[in-house]
Amino acid sequence: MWQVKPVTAQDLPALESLMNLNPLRLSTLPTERDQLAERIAVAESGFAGLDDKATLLFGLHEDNGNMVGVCGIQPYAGADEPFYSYRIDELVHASRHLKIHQRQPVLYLSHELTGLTSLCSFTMLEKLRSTAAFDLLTRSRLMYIAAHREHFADELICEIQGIWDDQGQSIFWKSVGELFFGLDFITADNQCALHGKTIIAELLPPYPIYTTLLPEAVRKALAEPHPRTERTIKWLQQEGLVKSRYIDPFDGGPTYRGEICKMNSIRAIRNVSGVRQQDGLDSQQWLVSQGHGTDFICMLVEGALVDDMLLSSTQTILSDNTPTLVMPLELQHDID
Amino acid sequence: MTLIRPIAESDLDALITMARESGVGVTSLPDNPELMARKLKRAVASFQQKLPPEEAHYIFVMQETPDGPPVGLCGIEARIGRDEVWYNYRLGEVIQASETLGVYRRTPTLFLSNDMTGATELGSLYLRELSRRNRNGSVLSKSRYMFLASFPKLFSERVIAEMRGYSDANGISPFWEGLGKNFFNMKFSDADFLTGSGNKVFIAELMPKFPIYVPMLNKAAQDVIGAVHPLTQPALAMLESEGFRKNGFVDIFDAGPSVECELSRIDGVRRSERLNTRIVDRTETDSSVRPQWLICNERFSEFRLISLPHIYRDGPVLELTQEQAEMLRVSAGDPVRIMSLKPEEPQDG
Repeated sequence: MWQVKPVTAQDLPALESLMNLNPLRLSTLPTERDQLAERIAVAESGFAGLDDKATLLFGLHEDNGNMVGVCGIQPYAGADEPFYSYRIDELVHASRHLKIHQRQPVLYLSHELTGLTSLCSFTMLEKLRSTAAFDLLTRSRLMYIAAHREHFADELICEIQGIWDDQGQSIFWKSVGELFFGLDFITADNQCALHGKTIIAELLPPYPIYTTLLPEAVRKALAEPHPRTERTIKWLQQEGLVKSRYIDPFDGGPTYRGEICKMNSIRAIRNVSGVRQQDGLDSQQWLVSQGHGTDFICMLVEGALVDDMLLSSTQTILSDNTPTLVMPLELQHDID
Repeated sequence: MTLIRPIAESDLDALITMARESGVGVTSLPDNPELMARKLKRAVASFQQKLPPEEAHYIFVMQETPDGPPVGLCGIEARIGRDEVWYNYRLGEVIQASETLGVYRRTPTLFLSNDMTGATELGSLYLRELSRRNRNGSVLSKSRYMFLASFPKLFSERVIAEMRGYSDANGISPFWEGLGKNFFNMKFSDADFLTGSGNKVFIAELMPKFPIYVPMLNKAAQDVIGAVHPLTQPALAMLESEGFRKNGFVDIFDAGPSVECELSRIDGVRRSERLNTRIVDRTETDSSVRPQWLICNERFSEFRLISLPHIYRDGPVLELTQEQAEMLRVSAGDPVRIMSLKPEEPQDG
């Protein structure tokens, strides 16, 4: 059975190989071992309750203990620094006198998303992307958030990768960021992973950008997600998150946004008092989580809710006597 | 002997003709009779001191003979941006630097600005095709320094001129195509016409208000920022030879540069001298018609300026023939101002 648990120092080699397997680089995680070790240490202090703003990292493990996926939550986007996005806004250029009325899209550099809770750093083995492990890993974060509600913001964001070409270059970056850095996207992206995004974002042009001055291909790519992120977007939409007016300042990818308490997964969560083995009653798959902080664990369990207990024919390592959160794997899209 | 004088009501037809001839790009002379009539009225009122000095717009006309028709004109706007907002782009820079990242990048940036408001502007220079000879262009252009030198208190110490920006043989301005056009569908010639028609402020209000990062413009637009129209090159050279320098501001439509000089530092103003008139009886023997000197009276409403190949000077006294004195409307003992034209320049017609 798959398990999702906080990443610890001993997961370092597995994390490193995962990062190097990922065909899409993550701008929120580095690939170098030393830097990854640092990130893990930060995450551990977060799970231990020592750092409220630390980015938490969760690992997906197979029965044999292999870590085959990772994902993260940044409880407070930007942590101690501003979190940068571009807001797609509009200015109306109008003259009654000249009978002209034109809406001009403008990108404003914004810190507004600073402090929201951000889902980030998701990657998993390619072959698992179409399995229930995808749901488990993705949504285990919501289980963690539900179990530690006071540690997170009211709103959730998820930055989706924008359009990158086959060489890993972003056309948005080429027309915007690169003008101000002289660094190509891959180099800048590596620097982001290394130093954090803020130090780079601080170098972005401070004044708004008239998108009408950008090449047409770039305009079309604004807020467009990379085709590979289709499954994630579908999930976000099912949860009730919507594409916001904010885009990533590096690759122009969209940011999805929504209130945590209104997310379908969150609303479907039930509190029970444990998981008990009992044959014959399995009816559906559940995400089940127990424990807090460092001891958090989340699994997929087939079973049935009876009274105050999840009954499953499968023997699990989960306790039959501890506060437990359960969430149906299959979501009804409209709960009400 | 050319004569330059304040424009008069009776010059309306000539003014309209010249505005029509001047074509696209000479924004201050739109082919719009009604508008030109208003301009004329304002200029006449300015010379009659019926307007506050800061609202004055002086227009002068050139005649090639004492009784001939106007063949050219030039103007001085006492203060720009007084009755409508005056826009320019200022050529600035945004610098991105990070030691950690090893980044140091200077990005040229256009900032919309009203900073030239209140300056005195030299403008509206036009000389009819057939009269582009005998240094008439130089005489016409530089006559304005004589007026400035004679009445400096009426003007700002900051004197500017806006140079027509680059446009191709079809009148297409690459800067307009790359920037302005994106903000409203209009040909440059239409926008230019509206601008000259007193709609400049309406158009300016449609232009982008936030700074424009130059590298975001297409290459053709970038290349012509601060470039002058080929036909304006001689005018720029002439202004530069008098001490004017590009001041880092460009036109918001065609990115033509502005040039600027402090009034008291304009070479022509400094070269000019105030002398007293003596009337002499002399027959001009020099057959050269190419003028080397400008002479003007110091009468405001009846300003007159003539150009001469030679002057006869006796210390603080300038000797004029009766005919010259009559053209200048001075009598013996009256003050006059002289200024040498600079040595012949290649652009002199």
